[in-house]
Amino acid sequence: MTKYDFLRRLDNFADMKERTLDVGGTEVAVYFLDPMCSSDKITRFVTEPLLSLGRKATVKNCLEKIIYGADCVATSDADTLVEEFLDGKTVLFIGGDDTAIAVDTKGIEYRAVAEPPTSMVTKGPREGFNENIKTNLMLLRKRIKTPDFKTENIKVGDKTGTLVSVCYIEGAADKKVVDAVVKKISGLKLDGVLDSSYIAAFLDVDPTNLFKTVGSVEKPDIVASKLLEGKVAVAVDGSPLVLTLPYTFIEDMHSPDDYYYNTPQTATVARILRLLAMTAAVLLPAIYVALQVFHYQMLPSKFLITIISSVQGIPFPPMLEMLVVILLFDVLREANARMPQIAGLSLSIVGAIILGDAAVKAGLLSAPAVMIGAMSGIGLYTMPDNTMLFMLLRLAFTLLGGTVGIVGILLGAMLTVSYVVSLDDYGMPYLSPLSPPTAAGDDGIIKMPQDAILKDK
Amino acid sequence: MKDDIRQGQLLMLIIVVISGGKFLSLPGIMAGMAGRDSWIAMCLLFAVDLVCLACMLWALGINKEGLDINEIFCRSLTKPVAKALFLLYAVFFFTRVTGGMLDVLELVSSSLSVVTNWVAFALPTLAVITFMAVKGLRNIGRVTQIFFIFIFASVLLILLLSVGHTDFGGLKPTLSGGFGKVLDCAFNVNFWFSDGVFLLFLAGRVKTGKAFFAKTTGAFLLGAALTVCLDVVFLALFGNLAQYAVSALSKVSGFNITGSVYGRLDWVFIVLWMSSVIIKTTLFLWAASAGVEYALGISGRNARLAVFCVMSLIIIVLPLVFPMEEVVRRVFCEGWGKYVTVAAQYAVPLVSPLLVYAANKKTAHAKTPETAGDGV
Repeated sequence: MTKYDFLRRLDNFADMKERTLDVGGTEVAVYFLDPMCSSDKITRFVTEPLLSLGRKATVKNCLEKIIYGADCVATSDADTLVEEFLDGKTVLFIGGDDTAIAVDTKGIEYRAVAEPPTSMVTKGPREGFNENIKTNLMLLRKRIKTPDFKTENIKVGDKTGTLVSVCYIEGAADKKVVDAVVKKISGLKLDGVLDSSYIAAFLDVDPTNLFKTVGSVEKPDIVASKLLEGKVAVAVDGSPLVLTLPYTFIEDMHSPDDYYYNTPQTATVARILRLLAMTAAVLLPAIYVALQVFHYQMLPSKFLITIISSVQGIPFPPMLEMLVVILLFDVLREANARMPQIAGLSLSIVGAIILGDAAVKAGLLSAPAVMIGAMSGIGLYTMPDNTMLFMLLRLAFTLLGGTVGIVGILLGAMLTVSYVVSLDDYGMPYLSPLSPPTAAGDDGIIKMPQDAILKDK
Repeated sequence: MKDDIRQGQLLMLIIVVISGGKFLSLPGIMAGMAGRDSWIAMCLLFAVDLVCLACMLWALGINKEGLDINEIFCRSLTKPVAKALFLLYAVFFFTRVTGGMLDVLELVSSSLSVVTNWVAFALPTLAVITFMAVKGLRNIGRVTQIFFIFIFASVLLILLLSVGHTDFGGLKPTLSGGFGKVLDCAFNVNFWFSDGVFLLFLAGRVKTGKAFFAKTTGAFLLGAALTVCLDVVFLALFGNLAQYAVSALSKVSGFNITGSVYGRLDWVFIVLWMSSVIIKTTLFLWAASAGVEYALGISGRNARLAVFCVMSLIIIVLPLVFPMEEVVRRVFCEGWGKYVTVAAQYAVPLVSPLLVYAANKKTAHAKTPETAGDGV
């Protein structure tokens, strides 16, 4: 590829800079993308060594003796050269040679490695991934120093050319899973990949799955521990979320604190608490409605009297009342997530105190319904990865409880469990080690001491 | 992927199936026939079932070639006989599903204040059951594993919280009406037993581990013991009135509370226990569908789904057209039907080791497939 072919391919690139050097009588044309490259690196790695050469430059001696850049390639392939150029490399055409040199002079600004806001820990490592895949891989490599830690790089996206890296530990990971993941990613025909969630959608074995079957993690220590467990990680350039798979339901119940802060006993209690909170979050509104509409005899008399006195004069039937409370909470949550932080705080106060309290005082909603709606809303966040799905389930169960009663809730629960246990992505039952029990049982709901878990692995 | 079940899941499934559904209308019917000695009839029937179970477990143990029930029947008997047997099993399991669902509706109406009609109850219930059955045996095993602890705890609590109110002296004198009445009772209600027959359909699908025979027999005995204990408590509590009880479980669980200050805690147990009936019904629907598929020689996901849907539809429609409880009682409990189902309930399980032995031997000699259908 000649300089002219190259320029023809990159017509209308206002941010492309060109500099022509005379190196020992040979014309060397230097091209780089201004926003992507560091001028300091270009000066130090390319122009300075070239200008100080003082004799005729050739591709061979430039590559072997002159250019200081660590990542240098010489190619005559047009596509490769353009790809390298767009990736932030400086391209050098030496004389009339068809072969050009691409030198890594990238100078892209990235967010610093910081504690991710979604995965904070009381004690333990605070590093989080950022949007640079190199940094992310570095964060993993510095934790796993074994030649068995392998990575396979794949470029995805016709327009974005995003680098995707499949990471695994040879011997620990199931080769079939690794091959399946690599095959799936390699076969992707997409215009662009802007985040790991683009890839996650395609890694779902069954795209109609309701539950999340690909994990996403922001902390390198967690990904490293999953790699050691034999899982596969997928890092995507431009995304601070690294995907892990196979993913199980129980993983959403685990917190980094379970490993760094809690003892096995307290971790187990915390996990049971999370499971109970999640179950209560989904079922509590439904049970409350079913008890009011169909089975009020189930309530102890004192409790029943309290509820009856609270719901007197409420204009809505119990199911509608609960649906209003739930929807109100969900609207507040949705608005809160999108508002600026300062306004969000005010919104919480307005929502929680003014709306809730005013509705009860106005006699539109009963205090028990607001309390149960709030408890349920908070409980949903004990398993953050599936919050939205549990929200939908809660709505469905409330409808079942209000129309069919407690039998409907039982049928709904059996249907849900039956669906969840049938998920089997990448040969890993989604509800394991609850059903069926697996080798990961030592770190399921009950957490065994760390040495026992590691010994098993 | 092979639709199989693990040994641990099978043990739980056996306990759930043996005890599930036997505590609805059956204890009342049996009390009407044998009075306060009806629990002895129950013990007798469980003893016969135990012998059949032992034979089936032996058969599963010697099934070295991992043949499924279709291959076993076709290779040890002939294709036409195999098809006839599968049809018989389909009818047996299908009738049990219908009977079980009618009993659950009775329980819901009599104890949970949800008075509804058959269609409104059967439609959502069968939708869930069909969904679970379509997913296969592996799914049924996993669901059982999740719900087992709740089912087992609810049965135990119903039993323990009622025992304090029970005067077991009410069961005396034993056999005052003679042993003949007990035998008659056992003979007339045997259709509602033989739950373990589903094990035949597990041939080639169960992963047997250590002490498979002992553990499975133990699970059966535990399930049977729980059922008999509940029956004994029921009979001791209600004496001569037991025969009028439409749903024994709701009657016994009524003794789980001491006053309205605690609310109807027993309803929680009833609802949790009800999941055992749903699991049992799902398993029987799965077995009935397998019987139909083998008998008609059909296979494939869509065909299976069609079979399930048609069967579910028939289950919904039949009670609207016929008084099914009466039909089942007249045909399968007192009439000619019970002589026909004896083959499915007792004869085949008892000779199953021979059938498996013959089929395995034939397979070992010549590995040529000769099956009625393509398998489920």
